[in-house]
Amino acid sequence: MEILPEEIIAAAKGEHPSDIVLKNATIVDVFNLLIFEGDVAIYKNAIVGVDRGYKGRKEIDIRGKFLVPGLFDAHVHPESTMVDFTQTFLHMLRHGTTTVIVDAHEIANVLGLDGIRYVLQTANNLPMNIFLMLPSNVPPSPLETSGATLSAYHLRLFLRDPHVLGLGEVSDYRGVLNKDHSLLTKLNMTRHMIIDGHAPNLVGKELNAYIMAGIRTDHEFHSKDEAREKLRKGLSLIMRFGVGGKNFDYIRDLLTDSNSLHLMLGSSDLNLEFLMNEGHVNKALQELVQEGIDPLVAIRCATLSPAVNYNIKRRGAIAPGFYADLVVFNDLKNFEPILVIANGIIVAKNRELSFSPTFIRPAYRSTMNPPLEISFDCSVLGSRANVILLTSNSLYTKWIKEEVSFTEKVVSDIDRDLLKTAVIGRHTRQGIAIGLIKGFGLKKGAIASSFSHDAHNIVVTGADDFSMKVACDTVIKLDGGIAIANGPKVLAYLDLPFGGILSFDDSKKVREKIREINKTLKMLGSTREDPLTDLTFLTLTSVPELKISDKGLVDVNNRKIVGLFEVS
Amino acid sequence: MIDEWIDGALGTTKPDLVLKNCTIVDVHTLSTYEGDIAIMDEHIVGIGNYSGKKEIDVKGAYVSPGFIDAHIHLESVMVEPSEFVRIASPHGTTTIIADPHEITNVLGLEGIRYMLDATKGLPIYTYIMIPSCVPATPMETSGAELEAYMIEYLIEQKRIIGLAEVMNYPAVINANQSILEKIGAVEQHPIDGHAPDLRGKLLSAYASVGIRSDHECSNPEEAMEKIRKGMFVMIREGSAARNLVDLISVVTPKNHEFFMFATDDTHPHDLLKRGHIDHLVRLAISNGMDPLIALKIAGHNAARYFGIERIGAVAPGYIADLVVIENLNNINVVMTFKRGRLVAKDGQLVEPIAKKEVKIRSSMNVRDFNMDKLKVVAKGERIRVIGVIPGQLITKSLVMNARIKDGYVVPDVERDILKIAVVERHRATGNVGVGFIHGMGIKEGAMATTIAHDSHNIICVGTSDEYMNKAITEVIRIGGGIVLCTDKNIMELPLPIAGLISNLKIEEVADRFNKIVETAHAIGSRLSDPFMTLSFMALPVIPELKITDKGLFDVTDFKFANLFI
Repeated sequence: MEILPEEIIAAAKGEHPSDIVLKNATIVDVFNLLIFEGDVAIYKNAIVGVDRGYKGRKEIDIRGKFLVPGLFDAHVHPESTMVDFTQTFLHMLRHGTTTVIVDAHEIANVLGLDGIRYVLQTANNLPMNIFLMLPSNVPPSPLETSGATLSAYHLRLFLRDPHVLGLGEVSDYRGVLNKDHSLLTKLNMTRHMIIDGHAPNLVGKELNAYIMAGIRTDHEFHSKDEAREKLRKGLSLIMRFGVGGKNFDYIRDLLTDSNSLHLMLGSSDLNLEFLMNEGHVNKALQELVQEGIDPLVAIRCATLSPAVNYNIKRRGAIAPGFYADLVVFNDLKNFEPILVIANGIIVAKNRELSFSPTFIRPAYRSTMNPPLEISFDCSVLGSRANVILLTSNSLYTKWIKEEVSFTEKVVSDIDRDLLKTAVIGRHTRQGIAIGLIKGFGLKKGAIASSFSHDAHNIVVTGADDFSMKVACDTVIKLDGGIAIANGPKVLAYLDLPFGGILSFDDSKKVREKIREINKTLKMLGSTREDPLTDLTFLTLTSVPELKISDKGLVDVNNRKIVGLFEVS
Repeated sequence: MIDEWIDGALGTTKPDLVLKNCTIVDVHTLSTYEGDIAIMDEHIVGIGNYSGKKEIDVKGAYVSPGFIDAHIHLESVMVEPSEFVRIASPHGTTTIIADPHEITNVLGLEGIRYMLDATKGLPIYTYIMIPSCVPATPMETSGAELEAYMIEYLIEQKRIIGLAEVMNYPAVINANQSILEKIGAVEQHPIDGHAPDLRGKLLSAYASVGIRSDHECSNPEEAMEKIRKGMFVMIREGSAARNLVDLISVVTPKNHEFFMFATDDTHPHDLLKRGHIDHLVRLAISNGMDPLIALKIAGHNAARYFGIERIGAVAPGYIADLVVIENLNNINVVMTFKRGRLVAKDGQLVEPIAKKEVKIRSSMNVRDFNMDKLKVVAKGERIRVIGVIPGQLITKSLVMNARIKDGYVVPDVERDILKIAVVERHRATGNVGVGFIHGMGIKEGAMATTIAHDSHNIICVGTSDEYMNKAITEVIRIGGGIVLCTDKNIMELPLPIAGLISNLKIEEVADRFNKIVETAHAIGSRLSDPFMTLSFMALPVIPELKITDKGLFDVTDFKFANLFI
C-alpha cells in the first residue's frame, strides 16, 4: 500500500481531507450483494472510508450513479488483438477494467523469455494492475513446433516477481494424465500458487486426476453437467466472453447468489474490433444482465471472485483499506463507464483516457525462419480424406471424412468448398503440412497469416497454390503479418513485425487493416462472419476436434497426428 | 507426489482408503450428491466410483468438511490440549485457530512454545495466532511483553499464521505506534479484530490497516456493516459470551461466505455437555439456518479467511479432514477423519493420545506475601466499591459507607461488601492491590484464582483477611489454581501449567470445578459462575471500576482511582 497506517487512519476518521471523495454514490457491496448510499473517500492509492460526510481536495458528486469495484479480466491472451500490449490494456482500462490476468502464451511461443519480459515491462508502466500466469504450454504440445521452449527452470526465473500469480492454462491435459515429466515439474513448482486449467470435456476420474495435479480453475466446459461437476470438484470457473464462443449457456442456470464466488469472467481471446467499439468486461456484464442474471451477482463475478480465486489481496471490493480501483456506471444495465479510477488515479472519463500513458516499444528481432523452399505439393495417397469442418464457433472444428478424387496432386476443390490449407513451420525452418478445410467458402485467392494459435507458424488457405504462395511470400517479406493474394496481386495485408503476431501501429490503423482483410475475404467468397479469426484458430491444437500444425493434422482428443488420407 | 495421486485418481492404483456410498456435502454449490471418496495418504484424490485397499461403507451418511474453530483460547478449557482434543475430535473438530493470549501474558514466548509443543501431532490441527496485546494494558503487571520484533520472528514459524484479536482498538484508531508496529510485523498475514460496537468512520479506520475479522458482533446491523467493510464475521458462541442466535438473521445465501464459527472461550463442563463446533451448527440449524450453509460456515469459510490451503471441502486435492453425519437436523457426528485417517468413531477417539510431558517453568513468583498486605487503613468513610452485575463483564462504580474497625476498613458481610485483592505473581514486585466489591454474595470464606484476565495475577475475594490469606497462601503453595476456603475446609483445583491449565483429565477438572462452584453457592454466592465473574474483575479495559495489582482502576476516566472519596 506504501502509505503509512497513521495517514490512512487519519483520513478514514476524516481528520484530514482525502484526495478524492466520490459524494453520494450508490455503492455496490460485493460482499453482502446489496447496494448502499455513501461517500467513498480515496487517500493516495487507497479507499479509506465508505461512510457519510467525507471532505476531499477533489469532490465529485455522483448522485444517482453506480459505483462498482474496478473490473477484472480473469483470463486473457492479449495478443489476440494483434496490437501491442500497452494499447490493448489501455482499451480495457477505458472501459472500466483495472485488473487483468494475462497468460501471454502467444508471444512466449514465439519469443520465449523475451515475450514474458515484455509483459512485465508493460505491467510496470501502466497505472492498472497487470498480473501474469506463466505459460505452461510453450511449445503448446508435442504435436507442433513453436519458436521457444519454456521449461520449469525458465519459468522459475519469474516465480518471485510480484506480478506473477502462477501457472497459465495447462491445456495439455493428456500430458498431465500421462504424467509428462516436464509438465509435472512445472506443476509441482507452482503447486502453492494458482494453476489455470483448460480441459474441455474432461470429467470423471480423469478430471479427478487433472485436479490432483494442482489445477484450480477452468474456462473450458461444454455442458451444464460438466460445469457443475467441475464446480463440485472445487474448480473455479471462468465464464468466457471473448471471440471464439461464449460459454454463458452452460452456466446461466447454475450461477446463483451462493456460488458466485466460484465463478469469474474472462475474455480469453479478444478481437480488436470488439474491444475498441463494444467494450470489454463491462460488455460481458451487460450481456449477463440481459440474460437475466442479477447485476450484483454478475459484478461479483467480475470483481471479488477473481480477486479471491487468484489471491489478489485488497482488490475487488469497495471497502476501507482496499486499493482505489473503481468504475462509475450510469446504470447496471448498459454498464456505460463514465469514470474510471485505478490505484487512486482518475484514468478515464466517458471511455476516453484522461492521462498520458508511456508506450513501451521493446527492441525486437526477426522471427521469420521458414523453410528455404516453400512448396504446397502433396501426393494423393487415398480416396478418403480427413477434413477439418469449421463450426459456428471459431475455436471448435469437426472432423469429417470426404470422398476425394484428385488426379495427381491435392488441390482445392472450390465447388465442394474443400480448401487446401497448409502450415509452414517458420521458427526453425521446419516443414510444411497440408490439409483440407470445409466451410471457409473462399472461391478465389488465398490468405496467409503468421498469427496462428498457439505456435504461430504460418497458416495459409486458398483456392489455388499460386495465390497461396504469393500470400505466404508476402507474409515472409513483411517479416510477419497477414496477407491476401489473388494470383500475383496482393489485395490486403497487415504487417505484424513483433514476433510475427503484434503491430505497434495505432490501433485505429490496425483495425482498419483487419476490416479490409475480412472485407476482402468476403469479397473472395468467404461466407464466414469473422473469417480471419477462424483461420487463426485452425492451428489451435488444444481444442477439439481436428486441427492442423506444422507436423500434420492433429487429432485433438487422442493427441496424435493423423494423415490427410484415411489409411485403407 | 503428483504422479502417485494421478494414478490413485485414475484408479490405476488402489487408493489407501475409500469411503463408500457417501452423501457428499458440497460447499461450492451448496448441494449434496452421491459418490465414493478416494483417499491417498492425507489427500482426497477422487470422487466417483472407487475401490480401495481399505474401504469403509458409510451407508449413505453425509460427509462434510471437518469443523474449524476460528478463534479459541485453549486455556479456557483449563486442561492440556490433548484432553481438549480427546473430547472435541469425536465432535467433528479437525482444525482450531488458537490464540494463546492467556498463557502468553503469563509466560511470554515460552507460553507460545508450550501451545505449539502440546498441540503437535494431535488429531486436531492447531494453528496459532500471535497475541497482539501482551501485556493487555499498562495498568497491570503481566508476566511478559510480546514486542513487534518478537512477532516478526514468530510469524515465520510453522503453524503460526497471523496476529490475534487486536482488542486494543482505541490504540489502533488513535494510531498508537506500538500497535501499528505489531500490525506491520505480520504484513500480509491475517489479522483478527475485536471491536465491539465499533461503527462508522472509526470502524473504517480500524479496518483500513488490514484488520479483516471480528468476533464481537452482537447485532445484525453491526455484522452487516463489518462485512460491507471487507471483514469476516466470526459468529461466537462460547461459555462466556454467546451471540449466535442474535446474528443468525444476517446470514444469507449472498453473504454466507464471510461468516465463521468460533467459541472464543470454552469451559470444560460446556465442552463435555454440549460439544464443540457441532453444537454451534446444531444451534444455527435449530434457529433456522440452512444446514448446508451451517456446515459450510463450520468447515470451509475459516480456511479461506486464514488462507489455509486445501482445507475445507470434500473435493479432489483437499486434505481429507472429514466428518460423517447421520442426520442433518441433529448433526450427530459418527466419524471424524483427520488427514485421511479415521481418528474418532461413535464419540470416542479410535486411538488414545500418547501422554507426553511438555516441560514448562513454574509461573508463580510472588514476593513476601503476608496478611498485613491486605490491610486497609481507613483514610475516609466513603469508599469506591466495584458493583458486580450478574451475567456481565461490566461493573458499576459504587460509592458506599465503609465499615471501619480498629482504624481499618473491613468487609461487611451484611451489606455484601467484601474485600478483593490482586496479588502480583509474575515478577516478584510485591504489588498487592486491595479494594472492595459488592455482589459476590459469599457469607463466610474466600475464593482465590490465578485465572484473572488478562495478566492472570492472583485475584481473591473474601469475608476476612484471615480467609483471604489462607486462600492466597494455598494458591501459591499449589503453584497456581482455584481455591475456595470455607469455615470447614479448603477445596482446590490445581492449575500447575501457568496457573491456567490443569494436568488432570477434563472430566475430573469439570467435576472438581463444579463442586467448588456448588460450595461457593452453598456459602452464599448467587452468581451462576462466581469464579468466572471474579476472573474478569482484574480486566481494566471493561467499564466501570476494576482492580489490578496496581490498585483500583476507573475504566470510564481511564485512570487509577483512590479507594476513598
